[in-house]
Formats: sequence, structure tokens, C-alpha cells
Amino acid sequence: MKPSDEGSDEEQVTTSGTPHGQPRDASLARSTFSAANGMMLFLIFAFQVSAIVYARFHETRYFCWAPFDIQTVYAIRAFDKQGRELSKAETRDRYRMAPEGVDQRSYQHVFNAIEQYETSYGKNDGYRVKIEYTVNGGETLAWHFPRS
Amino acid sequence: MALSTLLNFAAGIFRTRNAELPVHLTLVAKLFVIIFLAKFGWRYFGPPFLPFVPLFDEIAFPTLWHRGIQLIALGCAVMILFNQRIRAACFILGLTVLVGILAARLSYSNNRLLFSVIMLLIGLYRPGRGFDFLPLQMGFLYFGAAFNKILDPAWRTGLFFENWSSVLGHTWYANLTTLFPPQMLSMLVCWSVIIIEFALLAAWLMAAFGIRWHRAPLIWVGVPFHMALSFYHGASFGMFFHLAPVCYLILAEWPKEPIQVRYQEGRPFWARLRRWFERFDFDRFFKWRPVRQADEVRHAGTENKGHAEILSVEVDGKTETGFRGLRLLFLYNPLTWFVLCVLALVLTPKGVLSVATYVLCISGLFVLSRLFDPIGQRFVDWLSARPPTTGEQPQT
Repeated sequence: MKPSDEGSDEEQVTTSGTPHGQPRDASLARSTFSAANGMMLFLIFAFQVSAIVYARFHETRYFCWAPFDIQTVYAIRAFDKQGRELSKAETRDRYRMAPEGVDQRSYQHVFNAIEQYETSYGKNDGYRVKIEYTVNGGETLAWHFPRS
Repeated sequence: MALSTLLNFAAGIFRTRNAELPVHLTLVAKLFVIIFLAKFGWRYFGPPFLPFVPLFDEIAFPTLWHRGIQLIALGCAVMILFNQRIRAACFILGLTVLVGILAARLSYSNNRLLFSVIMLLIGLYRPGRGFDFLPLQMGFLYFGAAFNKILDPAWRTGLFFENWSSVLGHTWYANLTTLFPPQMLSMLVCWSVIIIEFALLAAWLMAAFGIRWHRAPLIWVGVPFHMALSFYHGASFGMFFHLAPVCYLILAEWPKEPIQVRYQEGRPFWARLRRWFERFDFDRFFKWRPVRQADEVRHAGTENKGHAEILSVEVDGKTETGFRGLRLLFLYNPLTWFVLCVLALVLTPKGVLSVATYVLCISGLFVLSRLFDPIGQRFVDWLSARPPTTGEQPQT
């Protein structure tokens, strides 16, 4: 007779403590999976709540479900160390974005991209950047990098 | 033989029954994947550039990285289409798109984020959990949108819409506004959008908490709302024009029992329709049965009895007859949604809405509405008008 037919000690060890007679390892794996699943759900929703709250205190609109809420018409003008203005093609190549156009989310997204570039990949280039922009058809404003 | 095997394998794309997910979520996942592939979604992933998380700048082989995630995304897309480890594939595909966004700030867009989050949540779906997180996610989407708008003075005053119309070059709208006090019409439009988004938020939250009465109005407000925004913009907002209506399939439920279809024997049109339907009923959702007497069909019909002798369709104990029954046949066949999705994609080349897209959307909504029932019934009567033949025998 096989040990399992007898309900051997070994089998009792693996099945005891589980209501449906499943092996303990499988049950443990399932509950671990369930906890991980719940944690990931929590993270997904907590992240979105944080982004929606963050957007109330900043001009950026990332991850907060605010699509097409602001129309920003902008034009980027970048100047190298010698003061030469980059052509539109050079500007596009450098920042990988349209040098002139309409941003549909937030003007701050354009500034963030330029500032991040100039303080990381291009921090030794000494470029100056001027962005002229209008928000929702209002007056023309200017943003500069460096900010001072 | 080989061709038959190949066709059978290809038909797997349209099969929505599997052990991991309910039919409607499998359908949503597959339609999302089709949209993703049709829009060349793998191109969203590039080497890290201006990442949200600086860690991505430290990747030693950026080209290898971006080819790798492209390959993973495409692999997951194929797995979803062919029902292989579908939940895991949805989760990984959603995660891949999210990582792609986090690694490149300029690739951020709300439609990609929506794609990512919905796929992640389908991947995290567990049967019998008792709470549905997908409607909650849709509620979050509308909450974010409505909340941001109501706190924005440009939306409250109508300035946004006035300017947007001007950017889009809608001179007809500019002419229309002259009939109203300054910015009044734009303010009305903006507030309508805000109110609709708050209403959609409430309806999706009720769906999340299992309150059922609201579902039809939710679909009838939500889908035309998104269509109207895209129509006005004239473009598809990336994938959004296609993804948003598919999200409303989250509310659909397919019956667990086969759908009973009864039609009067000897009607050549219905016999032909049956043959076609059975050929394209990849999941065997429908059980067709011709009956000898019109009374038997009529007996099955509880509504619209004047047309009950033609066709009756019973779904979970509820019976529809005539044209309304015919409409159910199409609605419960997932192939209908695949065809509509592909049509919508074909009709929006490069994200620009063609006139045919407008015609398809408006006529599609009209056919689905009760307003179309009398016309549809006349059409069904006309199709059925041919005299009965004696060749066909009833089946059981």
C-alpha cells in the first residue's frame, strides 16, 4: 500500500492547516500572490491619487488625467555659448520636440523637458534658451533658461 | 489540411472564452492589442531620454534596452491575441508601456497611460474578488478630468473652448458665437463637458460598486461624448478615440448559458443567416433551433409579439424578438466588435478622422438605439418576406 493511501505522517505535514486539503506550499504561494496582487492594485491607485493631488500644487499635469485641458502655443529659441541661434532642425534634434507648436497639456511640460535636458545631457554646453508662449490665447509670455 | 489547421489557429484571435478571464475582459484586452498594433505601439518605446526616473539614464545599453522592451511588448501582444497566459501577458504589456513612459518624458500621453493602466488591471484581475477595479479606474479617469477642469478658470469662463476652436480654425463656430453674448456659448460648452464628466464619474463608481441600473445611460452618454470630442478635434487623440469606446465593454457581461435562437423553419433568409452565424460563432455562444410552428417562436417571445413569429433570441431568461433579437445576435458575437474596431482604425489613417468615420460612428449609434427599431423591423420583415420552403427540417 502506498504511503499516501495510508495518510502518512509526510502527507499530514504537507496538508495540515489548509481547509481544502491543498498542499501548504501551494496555499502559501496563493496567499503570497494574493497579497502581491493587492499591493500592486494599491500602488496603481495610490499613484494616481498622488498625481491628482500633486497637480493641484504644481503647473505640471503628468499622470493626473487632465488631457487637452490647456492650449499652449510655444516657440523655442536656443542659443549656443557663442550666442548663435540654433536652426529649427537643430533645435528639434537637440530636444527631440517640435521647436514651434501647440502643447495640449501644460506649458510647464515644455519647460521641464528643456530644463531637464540643459541640466543633464547638455549641462556642459552652456546653452541659453528662450521660450515664447501663450496660454489659451492670452498674452505672450517668455520663459528663460538659465532662469536667473 | 495544413490550411485548415492554419485557419483554425488564426481563428483563435477571435476566440474570447478562456479559463483566465471573463469574455468581456478578454475582448477588451484583444481590442486594445489590435489598436496598439495598428497604431504601431511598439514605436512608443525609444532609448531612455529625459526620463521621469533618473535611473533610466544609467542603463548601459540603451539601444538594447529599447529593442528588448519592444520585443517583450510584441511578444505579449501575440500571446494575448492567441489566448496564451493572457493575464500575465496583459500585465507585462501594461507594465512595459508604463516603463516606456517613465523612461522618456516626451512619450507621455494620456492615451498611452490609459492603455497601460487598463492592461495592468486586466492582468491583476482575479475572479470572485467581489470588487471590480476596472470601473473604479474609469471613475479615476473622469474624476481627474472633471476635477482639473472645474478648478481651471479658463474652463469655467469658456476661454479654453473659445481659444481651442480658434486654434482648430472652426470659423463656423466663430460665426455661431456672434449670436450669443461674448464667450457665453463657449462657457455653456465647457460647463456641459464638466457636468458630463462628473456624471460619468458617478456612473462608473456605481458600476464599480455593483449598482446596475445606470449602465445603459452611462454607455449612451459616455461613448457619444468621446466621439463628439474627437469629431470636433478632427483627430483621434493618439489611441484615445479607439480605446475609450472599447473601455465601455468593461460593463458588458456575456451569458454563461448558450444564447437560444429560435426561428421559424422554412424561412430561407434565417436558414442562411444561421449558417453564416455558426461559421463565425467561434466561441459557440449561440444555439440555433428552427421550430415548426410560428406559435412556438411566439411562445418564446415576451415582447414585440407582433414580430415574434420571425425570430426570438433568449439571453439569460430574457427574450427579444424580430429586429431587436437580430441586434442581440450581433452584439453578443465578439466578431462584431473586432470588425467595428478594425473599421474604425482603417477609417482614421494617421489619426485623422475621415468623413467615413463620422458616418460609421453616427449610423452605428443610431442602429443600436431604440429609435432605429421600427426601421430595423421593417427591414427584417422585408428580408423574411420570401415564402417558406419545404426543404428544411427542424432541428432539436
